[in-house]
Amino acid sequence: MTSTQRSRATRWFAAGSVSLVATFGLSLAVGAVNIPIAEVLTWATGGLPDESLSGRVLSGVRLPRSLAAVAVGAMLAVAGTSLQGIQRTPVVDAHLMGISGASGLGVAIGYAIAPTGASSQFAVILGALAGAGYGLVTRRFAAATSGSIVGVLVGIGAGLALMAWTGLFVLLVDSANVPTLSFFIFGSLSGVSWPLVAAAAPLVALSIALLWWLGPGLDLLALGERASIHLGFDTHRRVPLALAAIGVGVGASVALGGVIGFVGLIVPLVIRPMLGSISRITIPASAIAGAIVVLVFDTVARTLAAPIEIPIGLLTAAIGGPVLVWLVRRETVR
Amino acid sequence: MRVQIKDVSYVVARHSLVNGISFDVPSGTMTAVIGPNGAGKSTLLHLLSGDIVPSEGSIWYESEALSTISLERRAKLRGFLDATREPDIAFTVEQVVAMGRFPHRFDPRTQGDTDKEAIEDAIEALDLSELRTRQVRSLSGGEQQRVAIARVFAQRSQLVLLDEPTTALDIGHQATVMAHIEHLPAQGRSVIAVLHDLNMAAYFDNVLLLRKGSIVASGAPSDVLTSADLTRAYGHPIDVAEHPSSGGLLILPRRTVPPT
Repeated sequence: MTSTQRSRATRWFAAGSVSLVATFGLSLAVGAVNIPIAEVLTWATGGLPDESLSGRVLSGVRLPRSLAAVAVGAMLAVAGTSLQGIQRTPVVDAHLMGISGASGLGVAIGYAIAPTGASSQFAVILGALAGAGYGLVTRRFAAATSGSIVGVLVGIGAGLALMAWTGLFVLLVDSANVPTLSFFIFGSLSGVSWPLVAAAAPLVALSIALLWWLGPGLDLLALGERASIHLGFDTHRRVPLALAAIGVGVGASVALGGVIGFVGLIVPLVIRPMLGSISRITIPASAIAGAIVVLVFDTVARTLAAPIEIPIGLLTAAIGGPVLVWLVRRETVR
Repeated sequence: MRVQIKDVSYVVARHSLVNGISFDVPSGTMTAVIGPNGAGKSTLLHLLSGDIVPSEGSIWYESEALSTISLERRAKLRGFLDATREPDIAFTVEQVVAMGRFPHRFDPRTQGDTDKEAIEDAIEALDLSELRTRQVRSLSGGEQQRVAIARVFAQRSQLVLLDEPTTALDIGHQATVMAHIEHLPAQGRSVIAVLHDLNMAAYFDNVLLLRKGSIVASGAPSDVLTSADLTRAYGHPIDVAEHPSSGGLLILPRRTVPPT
């Protein structure tokens, strides 16, 4: 990396971190009840009693929700960045690959079979297992379609089928423990609770850490699978590990916020022209940018038509859908 | 690094691509592998790299059997320029050359002095300074080939396997790349290269002439690169003359007039 590239990355991370903190603060302040920033700051420094209305809203509702938005955004964006490296195409993310759909089914089953008091843990663990399982199953197929957007078509097909099965499951089980159908199609962070954050966040952190560790090796895949092996990157073991890590993290994020599309598609699209393709840079950058994007979308989702909440996935798809169309056009018409 | 090939055969679908080959590559020497299409040259290189396992026989890096060396350690010992390369690479020239340092636990953000030196040397050797911040996918075929060679050079392995290293290069870059390849043995590194340009083979210490998976002739260039052996191996009249300025070998296919 040249010094100009490095200083550009440094500036980007400084600006990104400041924006993330600012967006996070704003997401705490804005909502059905607006809380002045000054009061949020007083609360953040321990100057506001937890019994006060603002204190209760901040500690009990907004803080876990904003933390969940950070985890979901970071995870979806990092998953998108890593999958695009593995698949050698910018037209892919966890949603388009069907990983989110598989996780959704796992989360629904987790809620349905969970004993009382353990629904968060069951949802997260089954979502993670389903995501990882699906990731491992797609490995062989993913390698075969690497470098083309054909894989996305199959991923979308599988994702739609999984979503339909999830829908049928939700309707047939008809349990008060299982979230609504909308959660599994368009996502929502309205159901976030502290136990859910406590169960999901460590898995998201683990997943991102693993992908960061694997990053330099995954970068080699751009040279082709055989050249990667020549350089000592054991693709037969490391690529499935990366796909499993993506599945675990995405599964945990689906337990938090349901199925939210396009975040993992759009964020790398913005990051790469600015910072290049080196994973050790794009992964932390995507995590920051993804967190900001989901914080913003979630804040808009719960304030635009308040007191009605707009499912966040409706907003991401409203913008992400046209971006996908443009991206496919750019990749296929040269 | 000394490399030994002992009675190696490689059979696919009951067809023998490599047929009981034995030879020795002493440390710090250059061996050219030549022969017509389908002679088993690239297969031999992939066997030497450990990509495929011999059906019979064994390959040795120094006193270690290649089959017992881990994938990670192989990457430190041998570099490989594959004949097929990925053209659509969204990394810069510099980043791809830096990937050659991966076997040495290289982190692209924090380069050690050895990494930096290896990367810079390779970029300079392949005349890539002006292209270093360009994305590889925006380069011509010959330029991409130079990037691939630079990546293998940056790896600084003791054994360097090259499959047609100069094929896509212009005549000027062919000469400079060849000069840098010739420089590798001085650092104790061994080179095994598959060549189509027989004039390049004349610069090597040893030449291995293959046909149908077997060694037809091997030894010093002046012993192997003879009109009789080449004509028999390639099935076309080939003339070997003295080079007018260097006094080395000049190898040319004889022009045949198409039947009218």
